[in-house]
Amino acid sequence: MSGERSLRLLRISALVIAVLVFQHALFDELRLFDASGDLLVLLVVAAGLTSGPDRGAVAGFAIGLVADLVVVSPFGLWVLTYTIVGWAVGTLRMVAVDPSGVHTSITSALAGVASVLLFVGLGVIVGQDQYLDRAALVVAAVVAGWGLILGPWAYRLFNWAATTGSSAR
Amino acid sequence: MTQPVRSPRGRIIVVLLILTAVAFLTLDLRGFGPLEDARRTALRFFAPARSAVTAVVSPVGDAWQGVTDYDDLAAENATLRARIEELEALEIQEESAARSLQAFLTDASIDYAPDLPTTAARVSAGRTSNFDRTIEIDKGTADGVREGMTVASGSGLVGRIERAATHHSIVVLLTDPRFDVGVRLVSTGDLGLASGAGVGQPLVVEVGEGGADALLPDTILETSGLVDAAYPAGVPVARITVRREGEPVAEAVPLANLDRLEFVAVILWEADQ
Repeated sequence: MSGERSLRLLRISALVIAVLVFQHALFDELRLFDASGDLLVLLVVAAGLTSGPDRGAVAGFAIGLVADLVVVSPFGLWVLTYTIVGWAVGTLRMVAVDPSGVHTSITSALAGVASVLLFVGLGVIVGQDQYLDRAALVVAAVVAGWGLILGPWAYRLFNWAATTGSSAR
Repeated sequence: MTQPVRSPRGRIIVVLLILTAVAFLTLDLRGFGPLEDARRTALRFFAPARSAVTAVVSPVGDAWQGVTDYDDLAAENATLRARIEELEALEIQEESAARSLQAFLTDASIDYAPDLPTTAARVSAGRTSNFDRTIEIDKGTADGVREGMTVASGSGLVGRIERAATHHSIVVLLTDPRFDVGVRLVSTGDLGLASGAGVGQPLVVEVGEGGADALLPDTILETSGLVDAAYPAGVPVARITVRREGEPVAEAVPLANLDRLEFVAVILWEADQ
């Protein structure tokens, strides 16, 4: 069913691009304590929950690649961060998490915190000490807050893009 | 909902992905050109799409800022009213100070060029992530903008061009912790280095031991423009607020209001000029 698979891939790609544009056109402006939420990490979480660790990592890699194209941090930092987050969420999905509303919210919030801390930690390892700042904790809290609210919606959206048309199999 | 399955090759794929990401990081940190080219190309296509969406959804962002920044706006209004009164009282003194400054510049033979070519640009987007202190402007290489050029507003230095695409550019703000600029204290001519420390944080200004006594509150800093400097001379940068006890170090606030930029000027001057 390569036609069906291509269609799903197309839908997921369109979703990622749309979310990226929406993130930078509006969401970056919705700041709380000078920090904004991260919609892309919610997609990574949704991918991990929908598809497990391997595809979660692949989705994280692809989403990170897109994210890294439009920022000024070292290229690869978001790729690495999101790949690990996608894999970790997918692994959790295999062993524990049932993607119901509450679990998805909590997983999204925790993954949001993890992504920020991972980004900062990896940044410091590659010499970007400027990320190591108390403000990163505020960013983590805000990203977690938005994850708590929007996580289930992101999951439904990604699940729709990734599975519509495949249920008949 | 079905349980996801792991493919036998899954772990190998994950390891390969991580290694590839590490390779990207290594290449970028070593200045691998094609990655930066890819980012320029992405900016070329992404910026117009973002601008179009921003035009539609900006009322939502404005409403959000109105709600979340209400206290800040009220405080800013009060501060501005007080400042107007202060400025009215200082008007005559300022004329004198301006003459003194001009005389100082002349006497010290500073290579001050008031008529540097500039191009005005509109700020088309704010920062691109929680960790970047950047803005995006609607001028690019087609307008003569090049990476490394100085960006200023009517009040002073704003930042430098980090990435230039055909019609858009990304500007790193001077509050970014990676931002350093050579400065000169207007009052004494002492030289120092001003560095960004993050949003909401003052700039950190360091001078040689001999210039420590000149780090007085309200001292204005401008770009030094020494040989090989990255910025042209004489661009106002910041005002000192407080000196740190026992160190030749002071804190300073940028003269440009980086939170409410709408238009900026790109100084079409390159460091090797």
